[in-house]
Amino acid sequence: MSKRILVVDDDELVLVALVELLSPKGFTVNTALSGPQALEKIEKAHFDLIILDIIMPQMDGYELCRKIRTLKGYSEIPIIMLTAKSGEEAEKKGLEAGADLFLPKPIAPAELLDLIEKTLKGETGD
Amino acid sequence: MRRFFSDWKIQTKMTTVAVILVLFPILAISILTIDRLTDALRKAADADLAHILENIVSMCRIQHGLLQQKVTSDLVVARTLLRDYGTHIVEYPSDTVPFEATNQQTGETQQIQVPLWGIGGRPITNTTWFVDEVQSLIGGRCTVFQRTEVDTLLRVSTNVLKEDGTRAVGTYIPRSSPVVSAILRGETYLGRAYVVNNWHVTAYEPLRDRTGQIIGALYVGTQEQSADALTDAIARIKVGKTGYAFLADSEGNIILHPTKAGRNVTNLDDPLESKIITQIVEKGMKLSDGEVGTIRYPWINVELGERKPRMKIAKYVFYRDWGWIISAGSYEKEIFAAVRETKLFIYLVAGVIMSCAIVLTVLFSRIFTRPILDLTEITTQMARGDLSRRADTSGHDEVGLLARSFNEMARQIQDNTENLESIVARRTAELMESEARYHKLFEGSKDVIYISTADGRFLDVNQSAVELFGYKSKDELLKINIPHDLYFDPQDRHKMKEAIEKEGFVKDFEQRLRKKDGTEVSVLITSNLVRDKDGNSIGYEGIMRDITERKRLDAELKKTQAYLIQAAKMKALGDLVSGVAHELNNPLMASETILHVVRENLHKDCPNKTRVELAQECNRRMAKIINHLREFSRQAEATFEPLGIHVPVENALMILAQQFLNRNISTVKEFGSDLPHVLGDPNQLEQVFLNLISNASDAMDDLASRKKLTVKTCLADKGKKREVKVVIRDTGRGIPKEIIDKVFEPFFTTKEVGKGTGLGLSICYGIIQNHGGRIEVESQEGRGTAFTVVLPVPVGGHNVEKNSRRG
Repeated sequence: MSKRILVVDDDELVLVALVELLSPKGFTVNTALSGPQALEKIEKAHFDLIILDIIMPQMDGYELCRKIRTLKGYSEIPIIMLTAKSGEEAEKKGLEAGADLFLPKPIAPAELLDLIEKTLKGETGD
Repeated sequence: MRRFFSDWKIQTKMTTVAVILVLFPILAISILTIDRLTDALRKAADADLAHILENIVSMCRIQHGLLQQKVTSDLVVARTLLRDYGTHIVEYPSDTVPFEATNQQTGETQQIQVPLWGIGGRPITNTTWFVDEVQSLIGGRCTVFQRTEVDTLLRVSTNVLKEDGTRAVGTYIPRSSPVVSAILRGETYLGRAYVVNNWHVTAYEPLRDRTGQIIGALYVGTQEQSADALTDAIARIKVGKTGYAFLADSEGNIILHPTKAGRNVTNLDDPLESKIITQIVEKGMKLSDGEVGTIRYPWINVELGERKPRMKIAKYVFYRDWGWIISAGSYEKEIFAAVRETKLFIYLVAGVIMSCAIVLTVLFSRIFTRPILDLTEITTQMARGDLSRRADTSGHDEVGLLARSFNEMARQIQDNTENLESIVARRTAELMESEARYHKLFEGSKDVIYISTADGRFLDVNQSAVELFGYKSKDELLKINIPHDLYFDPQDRHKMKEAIEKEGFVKDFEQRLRKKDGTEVSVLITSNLVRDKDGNSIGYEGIMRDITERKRLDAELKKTQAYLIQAAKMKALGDLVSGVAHELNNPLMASETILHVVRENLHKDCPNKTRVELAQECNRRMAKIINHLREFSRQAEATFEPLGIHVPVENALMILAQQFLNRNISTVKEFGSDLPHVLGDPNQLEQVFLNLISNASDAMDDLASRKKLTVKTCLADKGKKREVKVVIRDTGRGIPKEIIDKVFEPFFTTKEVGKGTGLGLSICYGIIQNHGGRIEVESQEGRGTAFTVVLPVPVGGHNVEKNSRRG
């Protein structure tokens, strides 16, 4: 059975690209353009991995991350923050919010795939 | 003359005037008086002398009268006696008596015969009884004359004696004698007669016979000189003190004289005396009755031993009855003694009056001029400053009036002076205060205040000038030649002078001046022209403000401002870049992901595969640019930690080591030992050195040989401020001067398109600046470039890098 991944980003291009990248690899990819929309989708269905952008309107990635972690059954679900925002402070803040990985945009697609697979297998995230 | 007179003191003037006023009348009166008095006295003296003579004449006349009376009475006695003897004389013609008759005047003799006379029966001729009887009765002489045939009168009986003492019987009176004439006329003759050898007062009376015929004469006479009493009286007469009277008869016989009596004038011892007396006698005899002759002559009294002649005056008269020249005289001086005494007295009186007048005048002029002198004295004292003095105003005359006017004037002067003094004192105080204020302002001014001449000397400067230009003293500064000593280029001063001459002043004229030690000082000069009263410029006065420090601060401020602007620019640019990078990342990532998916789906031999890969390469370059931009924007986010400078340097060198080998570049490491740690971000510093070394490597890329990279580290110890320096030097082509200032600007690059982003050095610059350091660049075209990274050593940073080494 295929793993379900939710990608949250306010940039539709990113969502389209990630769907294109991940779908052929056997993942079921859902997308959300904002935090509230993501939470809505999470309520409706279960996801095995969530990829978050940080800079978004309405609700930023950190807040969304913290909210997801409060949801039942999502405390252990891997969350990857994929963001144009870089820097140690941002990374630290992301990890504190409950993210498992903090990846900069742009990231090489192969590397992203590799990290997603490893995360799902529980090889990363300590 | 007026000037001469005006030089005199008033006292002298008054005295002079008074003396002149007194002197002239007194002199005139004296002279007139003396003249008149002398005249009068002379006349009086003359008259006195004449009186003396008159008196003598009178005495003689009286004597003469007395004698004549006596002779007349004697004649009566003799006649009476003769008549007693007989009525008439009896002539006995028979009896003749011979006589040797002698002319009594000529002395000639002749023999004659006369008849014998007798009376009363007694002979008379050639007898003496009758005449002697008469003599016994009258005391005088008596003679009986007989008329001869030749009408001479022959003495036939007489007691008149001849010189030899015998009776003068036989002498006769010649016919020419007036006596004979008178007798023959029948008259009685009275008068003088020279009888034998003496003048006599005589009386002759004719003798007649019965018929009345004159037959002879009867004579009685007394010698004139017989009046001894008279001569005694005359001898006692004194004329003046030593003068005397003398008598001489017409024959020149001196009858009476103190010393020469009895002598004849012709045979005196002194010829002068002889001459004078002769003259008197001769002249005297020509005088008529009552006429008085006068003679003045110089006389030397030899008997008294005199040598100088003294004037004598003598008066003389002729006493005809007796034929006497009577003279009286003396020394003029004696005669006019009264004149002299009077003169003397008048002179004395005049002198006394004049003396009194002079003394009184002097005294009065003193009294008159005293108040004036007092006034003068007071004026002098006032002139010396004692304004409180006042003149004595007790007098009510003009001087008193003057004194009162003077006091009024003095009071006003005193008032004015006191007023003036108080004004002067106040003004002086104000001036001094003002002066002090201005002096304080002048000396206290921190700006230089000066007065200079046009040709370049200071006339005055304040202390600030001395301090600013570093001279020892004001005097030293006043001696300098301004254009030469104070200006680097005298033309600078000339330009300013021209500006001042043109406008009259300059304001904030900037000049570079030279201190005594040769260092430069920048000043702003505000100066204006000083003109003399004719409007010619003679110098300048003005102030100089030292703006050296301000200029330095300005420069620093400008630098800081530029720095801040640069920083702000960098920040803005960072924000911009950050935003752009962020925005680019999403599409870039989408693009890359899509391309990744596309390429995976392509066949191995699909020709599009390479095209996709090309697009991917494009994406990577974009990613690299974006990455650089992100780094650039992230400069402010450095994390500082103490670290040895060699760590990032070595890391950078290590990363590029392979590249050096490939490019055949030799590297030299000149690392300083024991360098202190700096505070820094290791990654950022590594990035800086990487960038700089990489640039150096690129700069030598096109060289064939001599590619040498030197990395040197050292400690620059500037007192408290210690800095670590890292110098990266290449031997490349160098940076042209025109662009060396731009090398740190963002997006400035000389590299070929695609090879550099133009951000490297600006990022380095920003990083190092963020570390509190700086990057300096030094380049020589064709020789190479050296970038020096300077980082401050934190205070108290003692951590010393141990693992330093040289390579």
